[in-house]
Amino acid sequence: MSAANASPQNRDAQYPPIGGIFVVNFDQVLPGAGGGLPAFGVTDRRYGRTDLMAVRSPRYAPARASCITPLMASAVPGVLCPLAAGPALGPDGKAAFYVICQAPPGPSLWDDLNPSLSRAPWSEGDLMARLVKPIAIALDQLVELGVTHRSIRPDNLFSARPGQPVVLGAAWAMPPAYKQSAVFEPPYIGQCHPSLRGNGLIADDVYALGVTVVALATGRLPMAECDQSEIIRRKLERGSFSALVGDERLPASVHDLVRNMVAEDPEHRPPPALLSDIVAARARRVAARPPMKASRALQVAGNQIWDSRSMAWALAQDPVLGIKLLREGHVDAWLRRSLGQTALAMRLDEVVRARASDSSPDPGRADAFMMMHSVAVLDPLAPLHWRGLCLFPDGLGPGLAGLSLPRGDGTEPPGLAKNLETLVQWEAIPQWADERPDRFDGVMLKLDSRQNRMMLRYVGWAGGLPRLRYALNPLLPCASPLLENDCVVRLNELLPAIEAGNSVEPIDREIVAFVAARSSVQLEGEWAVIGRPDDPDIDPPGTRALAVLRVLASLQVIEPGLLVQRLSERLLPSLLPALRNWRRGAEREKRERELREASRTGNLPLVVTVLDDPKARAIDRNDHDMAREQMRRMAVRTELLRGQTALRAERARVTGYEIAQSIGLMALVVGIVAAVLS
Amino acid sequence: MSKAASTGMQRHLPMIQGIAIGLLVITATPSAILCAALLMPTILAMMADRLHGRPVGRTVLLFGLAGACGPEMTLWRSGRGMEGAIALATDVHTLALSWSFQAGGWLLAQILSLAICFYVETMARIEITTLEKRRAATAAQWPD
Repeated sequence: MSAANASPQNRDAQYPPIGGIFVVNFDQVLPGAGGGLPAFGVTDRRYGRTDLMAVRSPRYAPARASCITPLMASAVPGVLCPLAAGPALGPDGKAAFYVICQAPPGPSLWDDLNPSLSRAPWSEGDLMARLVKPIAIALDQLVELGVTHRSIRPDNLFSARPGQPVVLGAAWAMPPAYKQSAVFEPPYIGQCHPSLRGNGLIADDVYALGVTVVALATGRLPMAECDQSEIIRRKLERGSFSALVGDERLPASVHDLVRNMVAEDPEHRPPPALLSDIVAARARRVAARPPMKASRALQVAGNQIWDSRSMAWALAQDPVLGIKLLREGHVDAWLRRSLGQTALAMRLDEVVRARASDSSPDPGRADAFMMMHSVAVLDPLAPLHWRGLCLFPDGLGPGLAGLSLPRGDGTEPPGLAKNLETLVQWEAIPQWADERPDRFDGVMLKLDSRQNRMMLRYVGWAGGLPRLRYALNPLLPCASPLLENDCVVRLNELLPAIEAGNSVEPIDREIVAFVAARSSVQLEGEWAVIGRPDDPDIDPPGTRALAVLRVLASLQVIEPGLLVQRLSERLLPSLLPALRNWRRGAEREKRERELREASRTGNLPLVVTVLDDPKARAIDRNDHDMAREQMRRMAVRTELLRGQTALRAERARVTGYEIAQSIGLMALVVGIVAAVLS
Repeated sequence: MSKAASTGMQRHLPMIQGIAIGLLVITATPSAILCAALLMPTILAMMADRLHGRPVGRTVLLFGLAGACGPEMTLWRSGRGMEGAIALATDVHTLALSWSFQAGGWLLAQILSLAICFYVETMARIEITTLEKRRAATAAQWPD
C-alpha cells in the first residue's frame, strides 16, 4: 500500500540526511538520552561532530515547532538545543520524525535517585551551584526566546561528571510535558492528558525544578508510591509543598526556596532571573493562603472533599455525577454551610441558574458549559474541564493529534475526539477564558477559536477535525494509511512519498486535510470534488481525477526538480475519461498522445496543461455546438426529403403536364399559321 | 380579377362552353361535324381524365386543335358545305393524322410527367445520400 514496495535506492533518495548533513545511526542507541523518547547517535557529514543525537518523535505526539525554530536559530547554553529536524528512514523500513540535538554530556541525575546505587543526597551547595543556578540561567534565556522547556525532571537533567553543572535535556520531539509525571507538574497541569497540557509558562518549569530539588535533596522521588491521580489529589488537598516534602527535612535555605518554587499559583513562583540570585529567591515571600477547609466533608464518588479546589477536580472527574450534584444544589449547600464561602456559592448559583434557564435543544451542551463554568468558579487556577477532558487552550493542537487519530489499537477512548470537536464547535475556550481575564488574552483566544471553528465547519475532506489537527500541529506527520511507512511532515515531502507508493488512488481524506492545512494554494474547488469519490453525478467525466491531478501538480510546483513518472503512470487510467471533455475526435486523439507523452515525463503540471486548456476547451465546445446544430439541420432535411416522395411525384407530374400543354399550345399556333399560309 | 369573380366564372364555364358549342353547331354545322369527328380522341381523353383541371385532356385538346386546323381550313376554302365536311370527316388519312396528333399529345404528357418525376426523385436521392455522408463524417469528427 505504501512505500514498502519501493526500491531501497528510491527510499534512501526519499529520505536524505536531516538538514542535509545529519545521518541517524540506528545501531548506536543512546538509552535514557532522549528525555523519555528513543535516541540514537548521529553522523555529522559536514563537521564530523560526534556529540549529537537524534530523538525520535512519537507518531501521534508531534514535535514542538514553536520551540525548535527559535532554538535552532539561537542555541541556549545549558540546554540540549535542537540543530535540525526532519524525517529519517529506520532500519525496519518505517520512517519517523527526528530532532537532531546535542547529546547529553554524561549520565542523567536519575542515578542519584536510584536506591540500588545508594548515592548520598545532594548537598545544599551542590543543589544551588550545580542545579538551580545553571538551570535558572538557561530558563531565563529560554524566556527571552519565548520558549518553555516543560520536561525538567531528574532523568532529563545531565551532568558530565560529579561536580559539574547540569544541563537541560531535550524536550522538543514531543508535546510539552508529554512525558512528565504528575509529580513534576503543578496539580492543575498534572490533571490534563499528556497531549493536552499546552506550552505552559516558564513558572511551570520553575515548579518542575523545585520538585527536582526536593528529589535530589532527599535522595528519593517524592510520592513515588502514588499513582498519578493520588499525586494530584494530595497536592490539591495539602498544597504542593506539603505533599512533596511531607515529613522530610530539607536544609533551611532549600526549604524556603522550594516553598516558593512549588507555589500553586504560577504568579507566586520566582522567575528564573530571580532564581539565579539564590538569596533574593529565598527571601521572596508569597502571599498565597492555604486552601480553606470545610467543617464537614462532602462525599463525591467515594472521596471526602474538604476544600473547593478538590471539589472542582472531583466534579470534573465524574461529570455526570458532578452535574447532578450541582443541579440538585448539594455543592451550593456545602459551600454555604460547611465551607462558609457564601460569595463563591452565589457565583456558583448564578452558573447553575443560567443552566436552568437555558432552553437550547441540546441539554448536553448546556450541562457541559455549566460544568466548565462551575469548575472555573470553584478553582480559578484549574484548567478547562470539558466533558471529561481537561486541557489548557494551547494544548488543543497536540490533543487533536493524540486523541483524534484512528490508531486501530483502541488505546484512546473514541469519545474524546468527539468531545474535542464540540469544544471547538461551541467555542468553549473563549468563554472559559472570560472567567479568567487576568490570565488569558480573551480577544486572541476568541479569534483563534473562531478560526478553528470555521475550519471545523468546512464541509468535505478538506475540513473537520483532520484539517484542524494538521493546521494546529505544524510538525504532525500525515496520518494517511497510504503513507503508513512514511513520515510526511512538510508539504514538499508528500509527493515523493506518494510517488514511492503503489496505491491506485493516490490521495485520501487524511492527505487532503494535510494539504489543505499546509498549502497556501487556493484549491477549494478541487477539495469540493475530491471529497465525493463515489458520487456518480460528478460531471463532466474525469473531473475528480483532474482535481486530484491539479492538487498533486501544485505539490510538484513547490519541488520543481522532482519528476514522478510512476505516479503519473498510475494516474493515467483515471485521467483518460477526462479526454472525453474534448469533443473533437482529432483533438481528443492528439491530446491523448500528448497526455501519454507527458505522463512518461512525470511532469504533472505539464499533464494538467494537456487536459486543462480553458481557451482551447472553449473553442472546442463552440465548434462542437456548431457541428451539432449542422447535424441537426442535416437530419431534418434528410427526413424531409424522405417524407415528401409522394408530394414530389405529384408536383413532377403536374409540371410534366404543364410542359406538355405548353408544347401543345405551341403546336396549335404552328398548326394555325401553317393552315393559314397553306 | 377578384377571387369571387373567378369562382363565378368557373361555375358558369360549362354553361358558357355549352352555349359556344351550341352557337357553333347552329351557325357552322359542317365545321362542327368535322370538329366532332377529328376531336373524337379528345372527347374520350376529357372523359377519361379524372385529374383536377383535366391536364391530360387539355393537352390532347391542344394537339387535336393543332391537327384540326388544316382540315378546317380546307373545309373553309371548299365552301363550308356539308358534303365537304362529311368527306373530310370520313377521310382516313385526315382522321389518322388528326388522331395521331392527339395520341402524340397524350403520349407526350405521360412521358414528360414520368421523366420529370424520375429526375426529381433521383435528385432527392442524391441529396439524401450526400446529407447522410456529411452527417456521418461530422459525427465521426465529433464523437460522443
